[in-house]
Amino acid sequence: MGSKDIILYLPIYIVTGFIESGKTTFLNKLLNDCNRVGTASLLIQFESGEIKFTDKYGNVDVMTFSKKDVEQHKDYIISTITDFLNQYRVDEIWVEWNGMLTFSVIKELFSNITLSCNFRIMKVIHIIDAERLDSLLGRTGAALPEQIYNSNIAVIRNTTGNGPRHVQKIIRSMSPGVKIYGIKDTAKIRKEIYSKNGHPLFYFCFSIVSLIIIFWVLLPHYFPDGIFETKLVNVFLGIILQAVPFLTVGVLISSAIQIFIPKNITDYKFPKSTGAAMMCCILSGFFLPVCDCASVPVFHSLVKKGVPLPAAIAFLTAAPVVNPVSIMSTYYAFNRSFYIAIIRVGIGILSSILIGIFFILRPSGKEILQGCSDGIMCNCGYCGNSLPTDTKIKTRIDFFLKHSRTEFFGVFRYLLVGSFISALIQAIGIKPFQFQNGAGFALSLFLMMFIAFILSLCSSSDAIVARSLCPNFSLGAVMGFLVFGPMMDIKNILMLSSRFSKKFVWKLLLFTFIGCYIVIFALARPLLAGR
Amino acid sequence: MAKFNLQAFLEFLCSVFLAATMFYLAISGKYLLYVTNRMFMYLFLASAVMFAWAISEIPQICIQQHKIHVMHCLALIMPTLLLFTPHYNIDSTATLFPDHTKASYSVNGQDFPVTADKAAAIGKKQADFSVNSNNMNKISASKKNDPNILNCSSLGTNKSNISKSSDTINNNVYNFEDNKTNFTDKSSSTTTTNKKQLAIKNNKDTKEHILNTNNVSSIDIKENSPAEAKKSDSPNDNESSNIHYDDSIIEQFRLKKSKDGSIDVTDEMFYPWISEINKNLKRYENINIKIKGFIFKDPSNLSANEFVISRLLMYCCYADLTPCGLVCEYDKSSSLKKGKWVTVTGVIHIGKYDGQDEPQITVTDITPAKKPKYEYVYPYE
Repeated sequence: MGSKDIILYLPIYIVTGFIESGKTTFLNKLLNDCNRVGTASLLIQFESGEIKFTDKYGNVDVMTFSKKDVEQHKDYIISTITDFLNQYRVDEIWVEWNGMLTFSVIKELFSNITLSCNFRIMKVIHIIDAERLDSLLGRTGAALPEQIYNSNIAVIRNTTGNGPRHVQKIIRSMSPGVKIYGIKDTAKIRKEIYSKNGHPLFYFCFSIVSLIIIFWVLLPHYFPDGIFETKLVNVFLGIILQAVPFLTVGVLISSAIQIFIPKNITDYKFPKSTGAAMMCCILSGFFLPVCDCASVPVFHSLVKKGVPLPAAIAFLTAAPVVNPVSIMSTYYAFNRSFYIAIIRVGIGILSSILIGIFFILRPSGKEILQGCSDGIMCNCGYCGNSLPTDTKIKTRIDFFLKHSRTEFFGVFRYLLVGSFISALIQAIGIKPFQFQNGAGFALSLFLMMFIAFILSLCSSSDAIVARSLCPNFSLGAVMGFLVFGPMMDIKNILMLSSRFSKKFVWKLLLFTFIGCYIVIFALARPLLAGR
Repeated sequence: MAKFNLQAFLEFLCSVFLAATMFYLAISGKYLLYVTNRMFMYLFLASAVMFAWAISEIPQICIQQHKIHVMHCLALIMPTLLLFTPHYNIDSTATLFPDHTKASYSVNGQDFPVTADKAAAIGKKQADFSVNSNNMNKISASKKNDPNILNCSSLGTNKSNISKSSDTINNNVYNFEDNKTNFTDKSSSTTTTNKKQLAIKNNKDTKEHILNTNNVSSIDIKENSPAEAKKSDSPNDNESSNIHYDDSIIEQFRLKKSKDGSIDVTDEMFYPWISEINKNLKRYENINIKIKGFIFKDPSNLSANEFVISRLLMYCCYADLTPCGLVCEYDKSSSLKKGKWVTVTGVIHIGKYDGQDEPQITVTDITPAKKPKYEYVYPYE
């Protein structure tokens, strides 16, 4: 147990969860353990539910504050806790946090308590009622998503095993790296609570060292002429240096929209007739500089607002292709070629109309939506959920920087991996993809769309990667990369499946693929002949 | 509370590294090894934004965070790390394009990509070459006919006496294998070379006259050349009198010939000159040219006595580098080592490539040269 070690800091364990999610029940079970008798604990409750905490072994002191205290008498709370800690020996602090209060409040509270030793938040455990999560996320505001985002361990109640897969998916999408357990796995949970994860810095340094070994020792050893390495690194750096500025611009614009423009502006402008709404959706793509990551949240809110599904899908698929940022980057990537940019936009629009028509012919019902809130669209932990309404311009700029930064960090990884695969393909010099005849084109188009799907590049910079693939693929096939890539990729599928039913996501993927394939196969070669 | 946020600190550090890397690359000009010159401003912008992000991170460093993710910082620091890997090997650049590289090494009559469509056309052409092997066979077939076509044209225009310059032809042969210069006086060169050389002499005199009267301004050539040509009785000049030249490249880059009417291609003006010569091919027929580049050989498309004096053209980034240059005819081509940087002096003649007229150089002199400061050429101003 952690308490047996020499303590340089006071460990804090926080249990969060919505009202009646079973926090106290969980704590009753966890803290009343015969192995914990020697551990002096202080339980601070910020909520008084129906079930009371009962101290079986006399090692847990309980302190209770109401939500009102937190909001109005912070000094009282701080002084009470400080006094207690100065008087009594405490090995662990446990906090039962109020489901309606954001996590940042507790951080603030503890940062105001000054003691001889430091505090450290060790683990945050979030209790989730599997039955209620969907409905709760839709209407409980900012606190719940933020609590989930900040949790290390998610405990799922009211279910068998680790809970339904879609619940797990939602939690994972909201809180990357979270460990999920069923409520019955008390032993596992206890182990996880006291387990010391390897220090993240260790993995960081380890990766850097292994990179250095690969590039300084292994590659020169196995490729002594240096040509492979030279080409790999040069191509890689070339793509990165080209893509980073565009990604930066894309992230800045999409963040500006999320922070500076009220959300419902995109919601009420769409007409209700399917055809007109579809055209309207596609046209709005031209004026909304959102890349594929940003179009998924907008798509979700469109569907929720009752925009016809085919129209919303037309937006989802068209917006990343026709938006100004990707038009600009296509134009530059292909040597200032308006023609290529126009072809890309044209094929993108036709494909999205076709995909929309597929959904008119084979409609999906209402069950596609999995209840979720708007606040968790972006897992950056800043946007949506915690943006205050009375925002001053300074706070907004601060949020803007935070949001764009987090978004950049998030997307840059995908970009890096994508560029590296692209550079690797070129350094190895895979040539068998070079087909020009009908059958070959069909295959190479499929390959390109597959690669685009795997690479998950941001639509604001994928044109540059596509251009770099040009020597190895015909331009018609590259068009598949340019059109299908922004519409669907691993990243988007992950984002979509956290909000929509699995069946719908697969259907959407299939229809999008077929729609793009048909349009590109029919049009790309005649339009790009001789180019 | 422990007032240190490792994630924020690492994010700050790595952002600063990335910003500094981009800034350094832009300032030092080294970015030109990876991307084209038009990325200059974008790199500055990205670097500034990155720096702003790093600054905005500073207050976060003092706020405790119990949940730490650092692996995305690894992605941020990757470009900086890779920049220090031993990846840029000075002399191997040219050898990165082995002999079997199917690339177009000439802009081949295409316009200089001032406008978007034209740029795309060239870009496309390049992409097409790399995938269409049938086309390549046709090209190499047509290449073999080249010498005959050339001989006819040069013989027809040659009217001067042979004795005039029989001893002016010095073919300096540089022995690349032994890495030392070996000058050979080649007085017994083939008759075709002689005749071509003379034709050039003849034509050059006329041009020189024009240039002298018009204050050596290249733009003036356009206005006055046809008029002057009508006065002279050289049939060669009469042919070109009806041709309208497009001077957009000359005007854009202020290209100028030397005083003696020859072209001395500077390192910076390599691509503009190549484009201009390709565009207004007839104007430069039989003009002396001095051009620096590396030797590119492509046995599948070129005959044994040919090589390409070329430089690598970057459209977008390192990934799409393509050799670009002029085909040179040189009897001792086989003794030249590919990838070596040389200065070629020669005379432009019109050859055929893929059924189209194309400028080629009849080499009179080859000397070893130093690699230019900026190795690649870019199709943008």
